[in-house]
Amino acid sequence: MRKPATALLAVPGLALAGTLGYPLLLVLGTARHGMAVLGSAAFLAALEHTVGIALAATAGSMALALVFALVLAFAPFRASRTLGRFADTMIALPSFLTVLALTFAYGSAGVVNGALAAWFGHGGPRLDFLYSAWGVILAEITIYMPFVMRPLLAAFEAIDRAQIEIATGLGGGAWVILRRVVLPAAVPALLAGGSLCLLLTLNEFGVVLFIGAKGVITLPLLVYDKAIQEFDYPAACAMAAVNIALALALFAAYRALLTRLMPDAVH
Amino acid sequence: MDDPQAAGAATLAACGAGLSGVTVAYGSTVTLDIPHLAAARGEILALIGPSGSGKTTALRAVAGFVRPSSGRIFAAGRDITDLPPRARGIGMVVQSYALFPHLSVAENVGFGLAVRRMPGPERARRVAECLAMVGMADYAARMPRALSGGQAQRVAIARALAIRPPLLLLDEPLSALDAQIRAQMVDEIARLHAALPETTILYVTHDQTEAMTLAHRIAILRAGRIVGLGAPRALYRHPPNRFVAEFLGRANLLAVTVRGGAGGRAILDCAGTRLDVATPPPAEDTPMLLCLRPHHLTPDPTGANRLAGILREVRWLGAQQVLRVECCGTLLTASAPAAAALPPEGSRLALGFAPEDATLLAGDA
Repeated sequence: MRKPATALLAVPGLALAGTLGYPLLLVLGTARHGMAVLGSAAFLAALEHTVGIALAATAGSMALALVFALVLAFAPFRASRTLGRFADTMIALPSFLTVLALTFAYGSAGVVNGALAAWFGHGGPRLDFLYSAWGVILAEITIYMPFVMRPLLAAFEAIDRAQIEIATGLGGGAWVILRRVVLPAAVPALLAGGSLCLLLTLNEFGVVLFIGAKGVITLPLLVYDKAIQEFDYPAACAMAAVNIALALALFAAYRALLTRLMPDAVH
Repeated sequence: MDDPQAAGAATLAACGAGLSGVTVAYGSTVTLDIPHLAAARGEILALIGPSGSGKTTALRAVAGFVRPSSGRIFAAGRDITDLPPRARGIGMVVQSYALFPHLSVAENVGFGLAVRRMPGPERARRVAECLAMVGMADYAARMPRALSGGQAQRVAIARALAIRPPLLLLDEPLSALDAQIRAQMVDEIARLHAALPETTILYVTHDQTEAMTLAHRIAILRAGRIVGLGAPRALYRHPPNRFVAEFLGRANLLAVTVRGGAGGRAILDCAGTRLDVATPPPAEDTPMLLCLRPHHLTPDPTGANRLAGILREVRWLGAQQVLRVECCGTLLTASAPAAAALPPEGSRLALGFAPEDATLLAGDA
């Protein structure tokens, strides 16, 4: 029985090696000649931005998703299902659309700044966080929060409602039940969603490019600059290799954490 | 004029659990309508009925998870209708055990005590005591996922008892367990109640054996209403209506017509056969149903009541034989000792019963 399985695996295996493995090897091979860039100030600043923005956006997404999922799952109101669906459709929207919407709202010529100018005149206060790292973080939270919320909602829905009723009957208030019954059940989902979010934000390119925040250069953006604008492929490959290593290391750390926290949930 | 509602409330104030004029309705659908039901302190009152009969709704109304559309609910003599579930102080055990999966057995049992801010040492003592009561003392450090169904339900019972509730609600507590464990747990619950005689228990089940073994009284629900209430023996021997007769134990029902009688004896006619039953006779010519339990029907009778029939089927069940006999156009189930010699299937066989063992039921119920 093992032989046909191996043979069956060979076809997709070869396809994968041809489409993904070989180009990846080329990138890693080319990277050897561009290692010098890894010492540059531009690279170190980009690395710092990338990790900082990814961590902040992930933390924000997890916190916001937790609050939203709790409300949607446990505060019974009519629109909760519709709102959940709406959050799902956020996943389907192209990310630049969200960024565009944020620009319309908070951009330099956006609704909020228009109103501020109308009230206080042109010398008055202005809202210009959008073209900073904060803008990128806000945009990424808006886009990636549903990726954390979806598994959280599934985890909350899987909790036996009798557990919550019994905890209530034993005298437990909302806070005790949340802390001792609901949240422990949500930890794997929160970690899974959070890690997905972290990987996606680490590698995010479109949002950062589209916001065009001055001075907010992340690794993917720097790779793009080096490769497409400066034709410095070795440097681009070296930085890409670092990005890959970062993502893989994070993934490994996440698996290790999950194994320690939830030995049953890891397969 | 006496107000019966007020009088009912007065008795409810002394009861272990009670419902007075309670209705539960979803929109225009009434799922529960109980004018009066009270369990005495320390009584085990079983609520049984088919699914959808409202037994769980009644229990959840007492627990506070279903808000009655009208009426008052009492526990340990207090009117708890307007109290939130967490302030009712009622213990609850459900079919799915609902142990908190991320807390150890000891933490599960101590949950209600921790919420009440009972000091650590005292809490540990109480948890140990409750676990010992259900025979789970050695499992305090285990996580719920490492328990079997029977063990999990013992822990769930210990968790409910830890807060020393005057009223314990058991909602199909044994329905998820297999037959052997279930029988053990029935004994266990009986033993627990003997150790805590002050605790009132409302026991919801669809299993009549559990109800008959454990309960002091049984309330039988159908479509949200109580159609029978009484001690198990009384309900079984003299079911008030056809539904109770068929729901509680197996019942043979024969269509009969009243022909007369006097002084606690009724003379009936069943397709030409004259029958004599120990019951005050209803009006002559009334069509009625005669309820006969299988073990009250014996083959080859010598007494007054003799139903001629044809033996259709014999099933040997070890301790007894179950017979299917066609009498008066109805297939009756009877039982005979395992060693009884019976004629071959298809032969003539008469069945008889003692006049005291039959119950007359209204024909239309």
